[in-house]
Amino acid sequence: MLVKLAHFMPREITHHDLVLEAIRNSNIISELIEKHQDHLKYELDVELVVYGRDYAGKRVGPYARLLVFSPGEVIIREGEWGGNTFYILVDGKLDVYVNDDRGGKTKVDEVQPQTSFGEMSILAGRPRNATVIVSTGSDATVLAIKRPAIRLLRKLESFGKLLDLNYREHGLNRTLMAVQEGTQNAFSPELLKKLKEAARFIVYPKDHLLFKEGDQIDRLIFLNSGWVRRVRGLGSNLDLVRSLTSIPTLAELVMEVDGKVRLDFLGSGNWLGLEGIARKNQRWTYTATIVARTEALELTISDLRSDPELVNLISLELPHFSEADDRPPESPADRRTVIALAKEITTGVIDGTNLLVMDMDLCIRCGNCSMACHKVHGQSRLLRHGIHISRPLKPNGGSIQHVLMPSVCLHCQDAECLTGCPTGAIARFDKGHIDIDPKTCIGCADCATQCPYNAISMVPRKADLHVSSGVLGTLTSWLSLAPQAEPPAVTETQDLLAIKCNLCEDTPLNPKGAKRPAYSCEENCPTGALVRVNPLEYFNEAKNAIGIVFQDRTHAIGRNIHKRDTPARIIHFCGLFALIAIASTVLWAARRYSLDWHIYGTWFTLRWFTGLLGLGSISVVLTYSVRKQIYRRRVGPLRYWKLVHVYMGLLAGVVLLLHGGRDSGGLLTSCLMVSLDLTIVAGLFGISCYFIVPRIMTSIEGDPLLIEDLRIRRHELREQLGLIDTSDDQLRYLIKDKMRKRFFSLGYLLRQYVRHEDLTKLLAEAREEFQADADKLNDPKARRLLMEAIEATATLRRVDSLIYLHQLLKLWLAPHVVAASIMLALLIVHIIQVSLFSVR
Amino acid sequence: MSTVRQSTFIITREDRAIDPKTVVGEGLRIGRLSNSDIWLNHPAVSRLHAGISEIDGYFYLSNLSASSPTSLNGRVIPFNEAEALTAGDVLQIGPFFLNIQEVNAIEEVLRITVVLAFAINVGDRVPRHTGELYNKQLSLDIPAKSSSEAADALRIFWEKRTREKAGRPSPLHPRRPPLLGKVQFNWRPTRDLVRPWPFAIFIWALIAVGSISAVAAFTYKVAFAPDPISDPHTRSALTLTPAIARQPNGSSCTSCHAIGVGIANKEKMNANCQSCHQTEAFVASITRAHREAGIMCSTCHAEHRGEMFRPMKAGLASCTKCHNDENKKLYNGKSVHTPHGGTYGYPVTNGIWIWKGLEDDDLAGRPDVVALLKENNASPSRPQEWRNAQFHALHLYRVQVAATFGGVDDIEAVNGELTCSTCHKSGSMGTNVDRTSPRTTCASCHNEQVFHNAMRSLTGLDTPSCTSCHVQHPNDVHWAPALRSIQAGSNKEIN
Repeated sequence: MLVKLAHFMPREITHHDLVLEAIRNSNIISELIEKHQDHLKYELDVELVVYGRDYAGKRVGPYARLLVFSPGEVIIREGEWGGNTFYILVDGKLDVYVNDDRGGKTKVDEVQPQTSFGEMSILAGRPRNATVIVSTGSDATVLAIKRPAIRLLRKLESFGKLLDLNYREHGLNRTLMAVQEGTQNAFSPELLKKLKEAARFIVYPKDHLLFKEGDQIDRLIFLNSGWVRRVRGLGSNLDLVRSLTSIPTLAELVMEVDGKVRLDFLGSGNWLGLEGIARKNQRWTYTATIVARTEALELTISDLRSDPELVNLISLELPHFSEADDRPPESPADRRTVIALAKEITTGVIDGTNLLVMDMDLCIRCGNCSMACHKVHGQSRLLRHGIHISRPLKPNGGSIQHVLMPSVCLHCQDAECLTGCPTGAIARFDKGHIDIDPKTCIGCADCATQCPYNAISMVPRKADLHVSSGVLGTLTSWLSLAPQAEPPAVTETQDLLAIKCNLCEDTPLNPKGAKRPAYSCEENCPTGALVRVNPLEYFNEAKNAIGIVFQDRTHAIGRNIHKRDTPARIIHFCGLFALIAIASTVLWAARRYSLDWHIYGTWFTLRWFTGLLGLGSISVVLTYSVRKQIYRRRVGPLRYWKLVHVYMGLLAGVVLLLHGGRDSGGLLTSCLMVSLDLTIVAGLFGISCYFIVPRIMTSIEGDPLLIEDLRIRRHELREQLGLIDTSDDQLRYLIKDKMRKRFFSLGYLLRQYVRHEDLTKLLAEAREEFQADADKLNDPKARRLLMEAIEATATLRRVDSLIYLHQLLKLWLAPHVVAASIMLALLIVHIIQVSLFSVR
Repeated sequence: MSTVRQSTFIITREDRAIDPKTVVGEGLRIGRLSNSDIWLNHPAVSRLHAGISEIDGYFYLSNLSASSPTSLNGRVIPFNEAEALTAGDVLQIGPFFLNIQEVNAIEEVLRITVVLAFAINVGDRVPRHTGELYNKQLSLDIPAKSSSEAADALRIFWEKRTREKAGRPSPLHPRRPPLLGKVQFNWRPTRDLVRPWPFAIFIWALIAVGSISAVAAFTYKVAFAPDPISDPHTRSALTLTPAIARQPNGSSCTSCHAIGVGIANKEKMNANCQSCHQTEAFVASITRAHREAGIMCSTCHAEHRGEMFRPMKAGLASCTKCHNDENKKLYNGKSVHTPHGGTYGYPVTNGIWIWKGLEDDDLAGRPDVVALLKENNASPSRPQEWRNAQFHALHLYRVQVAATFGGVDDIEAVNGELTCSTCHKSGSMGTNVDRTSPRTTCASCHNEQVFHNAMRSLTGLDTPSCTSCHVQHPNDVHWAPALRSIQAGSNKEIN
């Protein structure tokens, strides 16, 4: 019943003096309005917190609001993500409830007046872990303070300390709770208390060296979140260990150079140093470095030894957490896996809660994902380039998957974009996704600056409204064959608004009560290359790095549709079966009985049957083009529609070929058949391109690039070649004749596709080829110019080859669409003719 | 690893009225953090933006900002890479320009002047490659910057807190300098947002094909037909007199196809044939056997076989398509065979008439023959006589002697008509009549080729053919004109 009552809105006290009074009375932040000599010590901050401020018409604050809640009203609710506000109880009584296993609530505590609550959710980026309800009997007055205020309030000595203490205390409790859960409550309350006393909760920054190989094991470390890299065999070469930190590719280098070096990564849910418990004077067999912000629990071994029962329990229970930390890092089965994992961790994509992944071997570079995003949100938030990782699908397997994590929000667990926002407009919302409230966003671009993935962009607050151009305008737009113009880029710097991916929440794509979340980009990917996934589940190389107990921890469940796409399999099976069965049956019947065989009644012959079946298939085929116009509704993933399109197209082709029989028909009918065949041939060519071209592309392009970027690069390289000074005769001969002949040949272009060389290898070979010529040049400057020209030209040819592949992927579209359009028009004529002859 | 060496950096700030500052250290930190050696407080500058340090006698500028560019003489230095500095170099970081005035590698002194060019809108400033600066870069004999030891040393020195953003771009990435300042976050479209083909293609195809079809419907109807229709059906006036159709067709599609359910429904379409071909000179009637077997007009006289196509010839050609031994299909429960067992089909064998005579229906269409039979008191009750009478009634005075026929000098032959003595060379009614020569005489008209299972020698209507005897349309006055006597069509002469 309590929950039902809770829908009353709290009453707000807007009188500034009362707010100031409340702050003064609250011990924890009263320092804010302390006076220093004559004026307020933190004048600007007080203004922001209590009054709010106008920055050239842009409103920031007030961060604090004084709210009065009625009895029974819920202030925060367990499991919710509304992590944008924390509270200080000013007056009244609040009860704290925790959900129990049976779906009910148990009262666990009361909130003391003048204490804060709810700040952990903001700091740790987690859902609320308790429900706070106003006690019956009296109203409660509460100061609701927005997240950005924390930045200001941390300056206050008492509050800063309190916050830090609370955070540690909370973190410790949370971690111990996880440990207790992981051991199925093996620790008795007393032992847990002892454990708590012995433990420290520490947050390590990136690149912190935890311990070195050969040091004595003096503590147990439990990783609650974050990532640790373990290196074995490097000895005491600390510089090398450090250098590994800054450049992920160096990890690769070190392993290449020194086969003895063992390297792996451990994530949350792992205990380090358990072997130090069993025996004394054990030494670390590896060096551990923090690679991403890590929360850890540390227990000093000498402290633990004083309690044999605790030691016993620890050595009995804790090894269950993970198998990984029992053994020191070993030579990996496949180095490529480790390198991929290194990149996933160092770029931080593994810590996303809902990561957009594109399998570039399946991606046909159609850009429909960007388009889908654009159609849903008005401005596309999906840029089709970003972090690129090559990973073996199976250790030591032959197939490498090229994954692209485009510049789209991955809704980080520990989101950096949240820290800068002065108004609290950017926040984590109720489904765990991070979004920006356009009403409070002032367009300062702080979040965009903070975001490590370039996932936030700025758009004008007042979007250009599409002016309806009337009937005539619509007609002309229907007739215009001119290529569409790109939507205009944002050039202004005033009055902007930050936008980012919000997982299509609050759009018609995700109506209330929808069971499955739908993302426009994913729904509209024609090949299933694009998926939104839970990275820990998707990147299976990280599987063993996470402790067993923590392995199923997810906030947003991802699906790996590349691997398990049952509906697609069903469509493939049914499509092939229907195609073969129908085609062979009709062929058999046509040969056995002729096309004029009466199947039913006086008029329904085999010719009518094939014609109507073909017409039906074509109508189904056409639904694909209709489906492609629908972005804002949930109408099923495009990839299934495309499969149906392909199979029905083939069926229509076969059946209609039989419909014609041996007669070529009249001129119009012949044209109809020819355009139908052309459509199908172009389509089949397109499909084969879609299979082959992306795979060639990924093997030679490295990081995936957009065609416009490649075009710019081509222009740049040509410009650079033009700038090279060729006043030296010998150099001119080498560059203008010899080099040109070599690199601008067709053979050199085809070589790019055939050999699948990596660019560095290609350049090295190109340099080597001309080394002898370069050595003959006397002038060192000329030598350098030659080498530069060679590199630029070889790169240019690689760029060219990629541009051609991009164009090939679109090339078949024009004949397919034109032939299909003519075919449809002729089909209409044919249908009119037949129905005229039949019905008049 | 190079040993730790101290360098001296002398910084003059033109943007601030302060005395030159001398920094002695392992490296020079440039950034927005207040503890930087050169503190450039502007949003377009990263917290730790760039660093300068000395290795092997060269001062290197390292770009440590992944988000905001550092450019040297207009060239943007890629993230995490270093470039050697010489006197006269211009560095740009955000709105600030850093001029390298002096590089003294021996004493390890670097003199820098900082200039603030804030008046220029930061976002609008796009560093460009200019030929001059570019050549300056090339002309300096700077050691290869990718000397791995030096580069690694620099990286380790500038071990930093900045997060690796997107990694180092490959040489395929555009080197176009990124926009400076917050403008870089402004939304920009990509080619992805342009539809690869306009919807107008479909509209135009519809318009083009529609108008072509519409024009063709009036002026070039053949476009709609599987093949051109025969010449007689394209005429807009009746040329045959007497007419065998009620009205000229004039290339119309719909006079055959349109009434009732067309194309596939042959019965209805044949009803159309019959309703038009229903004149005094022609009735589209067919033999009972054919009718019962479902044979229709279009079975023999198929249309859409080209302009030069003659429906009558086709009719003759189609006889042997069905009537041959290879056709195993049953019609009315009976099998069909090569006509007359492949022979002439002489009607009498061993003095017995094996020809069965005409059906009642056929006779009904030939009142002249009936009259003649009546005259001779022939009756179906005496089959042999009846057949004999029929046979002779059909031939006598009704058939023209073919031009090729050698002709018998016969006084009875009038107007080239067939008389008794045309075949029977001697004797008269009775026992001594010549029964030998008719057997060879037949072949003079009923050419052997007619019976062959092919239509190769069906030269036309001037030659006796299947229908000469097995008349299909008895009411057709135009039927075999060259073979029939002038009177054959009218009953008066006989009567």
